[in-house]
Amino acid sequence: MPRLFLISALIISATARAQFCPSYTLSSTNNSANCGVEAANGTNPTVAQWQSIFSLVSQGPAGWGSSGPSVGNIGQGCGKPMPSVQVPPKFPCELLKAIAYQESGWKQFCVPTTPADQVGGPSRTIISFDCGYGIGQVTSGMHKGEAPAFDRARVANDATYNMATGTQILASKWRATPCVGDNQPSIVEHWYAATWAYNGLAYVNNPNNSMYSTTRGVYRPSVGGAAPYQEKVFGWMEFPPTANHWTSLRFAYPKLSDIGNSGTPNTLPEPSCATPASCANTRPTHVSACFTQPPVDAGTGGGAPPVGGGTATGGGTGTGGGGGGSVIVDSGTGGGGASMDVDAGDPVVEQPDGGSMSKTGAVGGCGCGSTGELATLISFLLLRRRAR
Amino acid sequence: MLSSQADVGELRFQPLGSSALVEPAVRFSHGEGSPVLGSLLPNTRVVVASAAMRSTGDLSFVGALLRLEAGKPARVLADQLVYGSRPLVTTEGRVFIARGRAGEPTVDTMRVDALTVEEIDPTTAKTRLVFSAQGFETHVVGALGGELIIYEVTPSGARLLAVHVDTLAVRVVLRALVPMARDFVVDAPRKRVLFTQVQGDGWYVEQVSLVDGARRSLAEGPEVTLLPTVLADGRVLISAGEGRGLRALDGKEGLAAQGPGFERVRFEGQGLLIDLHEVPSEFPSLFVFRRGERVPVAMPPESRLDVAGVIPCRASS
Repeated sequence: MPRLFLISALIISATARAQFCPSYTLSSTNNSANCGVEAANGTNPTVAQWQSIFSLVSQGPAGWGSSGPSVGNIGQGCGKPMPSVQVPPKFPCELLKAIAYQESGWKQFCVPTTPADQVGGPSRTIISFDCGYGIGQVTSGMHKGEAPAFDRARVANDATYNMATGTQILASKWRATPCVGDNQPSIVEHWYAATWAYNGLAYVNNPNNSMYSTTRGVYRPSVGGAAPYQEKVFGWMEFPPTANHWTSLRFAYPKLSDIGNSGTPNTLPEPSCATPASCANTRPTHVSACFTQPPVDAGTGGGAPPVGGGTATGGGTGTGGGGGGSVIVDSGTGGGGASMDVDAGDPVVEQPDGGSMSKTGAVGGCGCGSTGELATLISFLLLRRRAR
Repeated sequence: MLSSQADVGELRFQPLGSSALVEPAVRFSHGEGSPVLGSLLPNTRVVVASAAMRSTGDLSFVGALLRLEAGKPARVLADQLVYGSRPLVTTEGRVFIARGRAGEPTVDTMRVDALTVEEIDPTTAKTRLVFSAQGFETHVVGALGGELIIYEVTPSGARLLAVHVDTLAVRVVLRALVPMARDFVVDAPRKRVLFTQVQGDGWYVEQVSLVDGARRSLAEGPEVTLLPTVLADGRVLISAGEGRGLRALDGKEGLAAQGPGFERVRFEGQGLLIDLHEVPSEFPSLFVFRRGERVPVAMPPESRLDVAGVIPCRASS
């Protein structure tokens, strides 16, 4: 029998992203994907509180202590020129913020708008129809019967723990995907393949998928249209929802012809394209501002109050909204990372669209780096070890 | 004209030559930011369009096929459509869609999906399997006679296939090509397909005979945005670059640039040319030319746009 449905049956809230709040909790009668954990009541963190959370989580397990799950070391260096060495993971806060915005709009808790048996009531965990939990939309391990290496209840009830668990998954994608450039966790662009894999190594995320327009340019969320997942994340990075969320970072993309189209993602040279489909203009890569700030102390929690559903611990540094310089490090186009031109001149080729981008003066960012810290970083980058 | 903003799509039967925007004939909801791509059923005022019904998670097969006609609510005819795919409507009014189901998740290799091409009855929604593959992509790029032309990408590489829609016989047009082809144009009168393909650090427009698979390179450039177009008289136009319009292979101007961005011909014939002017990271706009003269056309502001087809004036009242 043919299946005909009124489209109204599929209507997603007309007011879209800001209002949309699914909560397919364990006990929902609409829990067809077997989500395995109950939603927890909680108040969503404010933007300022989120900044503190991102500051903390970007520092990795060494920074968050007991506020997140354990995460094993990741590789740094790919012989271009740095030989690979295993290091404790840290994450570009710019990337974490953009991923979290694409995934959930920075929502751990909200008043459910769907499914029907969950609408209204107290603010509680956002849970997508496929069991993506919280701000990081942690899906792996969250179904009935699964026993992942993290605390599932805390993924549902603790925003910091949820985001940290997202980075555990992101770290696993970093390990599983080939090198980008010299495979430096501090370089935002080197997370290209890991970000792709965070949404799944599916062909829908291959920029060479012939369904995608070759004229699409950098993904602009206010425009929309078809684009691979990672391009949406990097589009958010360039076009933040507000200046209070983060400072625009104009991501440098790998060449389409380097990405290829075989069954396995290619090792990629240093990205330098100004848009996903064109290298007519180039851009430098960027060192994450969060790699240049001092580590935070998760144990003493100085600043932001605990947020969420009552079990949140730690609390970050309390300096999340602090200003300071976001620093572009132009890694050059020909040196493969061997020489780095720190904050030299104006390395940006294109004119910014939004007008808010600046090499300095991060807005609500995750802190800043000094040139002294950058010098330390560069020394670190020049160490010679091996593989991812 | 199809337009979409945020999570709302609209279909309009917009008269050419008028600067007044008509009310939408149909309004429908879709996933936030979704592409909406449609085709007009010949000799009707019915459009079949694809749109994504979600905007987060794995979007591989979140598309729905919608039947849109004035005064009626949109109907979902099929789900599981390939994200960003356009339904193909033949000159006989038969409708074909690309669908799929996700394969097992992978760790370090590309996931292999179960892909199908199906014919769907736009009235009853009854479907019929035409082609299936295990792989990455089955893109229905056009039709020639009784055959669908399908660009298939699998772990083994890419092929160009011709699949007979009734007998389901599969004819291999090209056994192996670099799996980087895009912007396909099937030129049925000349039995050829054109597309953009990579070669080293450059890109070129390749022409392949749909009769014997003979290949020929027509043009090359440093960027992927060559956007090949075939006009009704057989002339091939190629993008000369952003903000530089379309040019014929002999270098003569084919269509002047309508501003910064690219020109994509969505319809050409009977003295009419409809140009979708695409600006990277911005909303597109429409330009219409009748015998070379620009004709006013109204369009909703700040919207993603598509042209599903053209209805002659005598049938549009």
